[in-house]
Amino acid sequence: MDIVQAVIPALLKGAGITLQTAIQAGLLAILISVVVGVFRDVGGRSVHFVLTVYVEFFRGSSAFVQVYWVFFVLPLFGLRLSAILAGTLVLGLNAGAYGSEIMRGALRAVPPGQREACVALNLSQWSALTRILIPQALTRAIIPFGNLLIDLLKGTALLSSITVTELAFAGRQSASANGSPLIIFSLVLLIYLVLAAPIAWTTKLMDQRVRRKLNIGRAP
Amino acid sequence: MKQVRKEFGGHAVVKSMDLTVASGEKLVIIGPSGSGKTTILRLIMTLETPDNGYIEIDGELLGCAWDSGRITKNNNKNLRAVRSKVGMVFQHFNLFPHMSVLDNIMEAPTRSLRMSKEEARERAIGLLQRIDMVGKASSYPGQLSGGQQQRVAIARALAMRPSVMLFDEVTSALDPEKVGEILQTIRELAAEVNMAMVIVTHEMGFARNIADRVIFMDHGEIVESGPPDEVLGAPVHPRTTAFLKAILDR
Repeated sequence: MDIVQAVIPALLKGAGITLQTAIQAGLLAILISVVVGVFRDVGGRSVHFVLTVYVEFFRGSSAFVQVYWVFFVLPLFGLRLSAILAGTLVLGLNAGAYGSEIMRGALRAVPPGQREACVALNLSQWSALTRILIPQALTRAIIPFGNLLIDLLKGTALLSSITVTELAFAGRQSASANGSPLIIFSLVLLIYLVLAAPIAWTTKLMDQRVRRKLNIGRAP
Repeated sequence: MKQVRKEFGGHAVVKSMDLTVASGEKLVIIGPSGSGKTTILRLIMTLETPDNGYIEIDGELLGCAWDSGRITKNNNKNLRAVRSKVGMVFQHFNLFPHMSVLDNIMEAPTRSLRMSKEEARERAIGLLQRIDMVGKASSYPGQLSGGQQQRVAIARALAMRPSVMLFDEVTSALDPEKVGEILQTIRELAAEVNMAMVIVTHEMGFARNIADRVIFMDHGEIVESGPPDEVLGAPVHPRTTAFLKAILDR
């Protein structure tokens, strides 16, 4: 048990950085998801094109290389970001690309009758989107957004490749300094689980509450 | 509505339709499914755009404009102004499930008519009293029966005070025992408010009772038109006779 006491402070410090990065990148990702998901369908053709390029670029290329690129290549163009900032941005942009597809699907899943009711009530397109369609799409997107955030949390391990001492990197450092990879990496896994569990619980709870309120039945 | 034509996939659902609804008139459209009755309502509500012809509300073109003797499409400027005179009640209610009954009714007056919250609430509560649902003001649509939802949908459309209201088979999705209460609500409304109504329905007793004029449509055309006693009581066209017989034999 000595080994646990010895490595725990370093691991918790790493977990703190993981959590902080995940929260910031997560907020960025949700914001991007909603904005891009909505405007890809309702914006004009040029907006659609630009956003499609963004989504396909981040979905279609390796997140690992994206992190590298922002941290090592952008400085060549004079843009030097701290490792944490570079990592947070890439993770947020990456998850945002996936999230925007969740949002787009959720928006399309809102029954056509809702749009028709907006027309019949003469709501502006802006009111229809912000008051009627997006809120209903969000209720359908809770669970998939939760999955996305858990993925993002685990994805913060990528930042170890650009010198950020987050949880996975802290684990590797502790293991090489102290030995006992079994105990240390088991601890690391456990900490990831503890960090991810609240996301799963919260989104499940939110989904249940919304379903009860709207009386739309249980999740399949 | 002048020479309005609408096609879906090369098939004309509405063929060169001329139709005028007088202010305050109660017009009932009957006909077999696929005859184009619902499409007419959707065209007036701008849920569809005509392939030909134009629609005017109180003398103003709906969603289009004259340009050197021709109709141009997509005049969005006047679209919302003119459309505000039209209201619609749907077969499947289409209430906003994430809003309470009261908010459903207040939404359009506050957003679209820019009415103050207090004023909109007052109007909404007045309408809820009228449909006898004040007690359900804070309920969500999912907690209501189909009949209650449809009454709220009627109140929601009324809150905009349209000069013409469209009813699209508003009892078709209801349990048989709830049909009566909705028809009663509409009848009361027709008696109290001087608002034109265009009603698509399969309820022949209701049609006879409420209509100033009945139109029988088939294959995108008006086959027969006249007072309810004539069209429903003594139809002259064989297609009308056949349709009415089929309905009554159900």
